[in-house]
Amino acid sequence: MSNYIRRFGDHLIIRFPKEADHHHLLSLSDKIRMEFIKKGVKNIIFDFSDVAFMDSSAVGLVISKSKTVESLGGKAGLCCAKGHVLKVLNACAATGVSQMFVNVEDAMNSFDKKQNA
Amino acid sequence: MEFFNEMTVSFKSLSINESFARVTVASFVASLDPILEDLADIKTAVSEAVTNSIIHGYEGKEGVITIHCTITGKKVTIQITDNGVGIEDIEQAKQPLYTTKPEMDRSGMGFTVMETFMDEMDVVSCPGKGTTVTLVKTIA
Ligand SMILES: Nc1ncnc2c1ncn2[C@@H]1O[C@H](COP(=O)(O)OP(=O)(O)OP(=O)(O)O)[C@@H](O)[C@H]1O
Ligand SMILES: [Mg+2]
Repeated sequence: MSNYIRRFGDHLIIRFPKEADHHHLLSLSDKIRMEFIKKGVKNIIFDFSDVAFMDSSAVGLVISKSKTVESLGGKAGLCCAKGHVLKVLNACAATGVSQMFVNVEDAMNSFDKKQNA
Repeated sequence: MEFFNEMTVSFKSLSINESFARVTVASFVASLDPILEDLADIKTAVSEAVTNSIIHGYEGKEGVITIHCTITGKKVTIQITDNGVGIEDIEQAKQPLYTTKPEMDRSGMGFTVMETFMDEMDVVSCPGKGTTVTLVKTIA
């Protein structure tokens, strides 16, 4: 697992790098795919806390992975998006694709509640 | 007399140069003392165009990307040129969500981001010869 991917129960948490562009995201897609092959991952949460720069490369990754998770019955969420990050997400109309949360805990709690309901 | 400044930079179509390209343009524009949001907008648009040249224009193969940038008064004009495969149908390419590389996790929103973040965007392309994207923004 890389610095950018963590697992909490059935949640996979992707912490985007500071510069979330094509170059810095090159290997992340494959790493996420590998995590899905392992058993137990259900939901995905994208954490933008560290991001100082991003372009549509990050949006492409979010949309593609969210679709995969949702097609398998899981949930996808975004958290800690503000300023420039939020502007790019809005320009790509990506805020409608996944749910937005204040932080990772908030997203995990919401997903856990829905699963147990 | 209106202030005029100009610069040209050429570099290899390597993904590692995406950050070099946007930071270089941002440094050049910094003389206009732009607000941070304008600078972030310009960096994002440059990153989109350069990434397109690398992924689509040269399809990951080696080539040269040239950025020509002028400042006229408060107006910044940035031209990003590649000698790659070119675009057959520019209007179609500009449509939101249109992408020829969905398997690479592309969203098809690059041109939409450039149009949203800049005042003007123009694309000139010749199939087999290459593409030039022109981005214009007036700094407040
Ligand atoms: N420099 C270029 N050379 C050749 N084709 C290009 C170039 N730039 C863009 N295109 C074509 O235009 C399409 C749309 O570009 P756009 O940047 O909007 O989306 P994308 O690059 O596919 O996805 P995203 O930018 O969201 O990751 C591309 O899929 C590609 O077919
Ligand atoms: Mg693009």
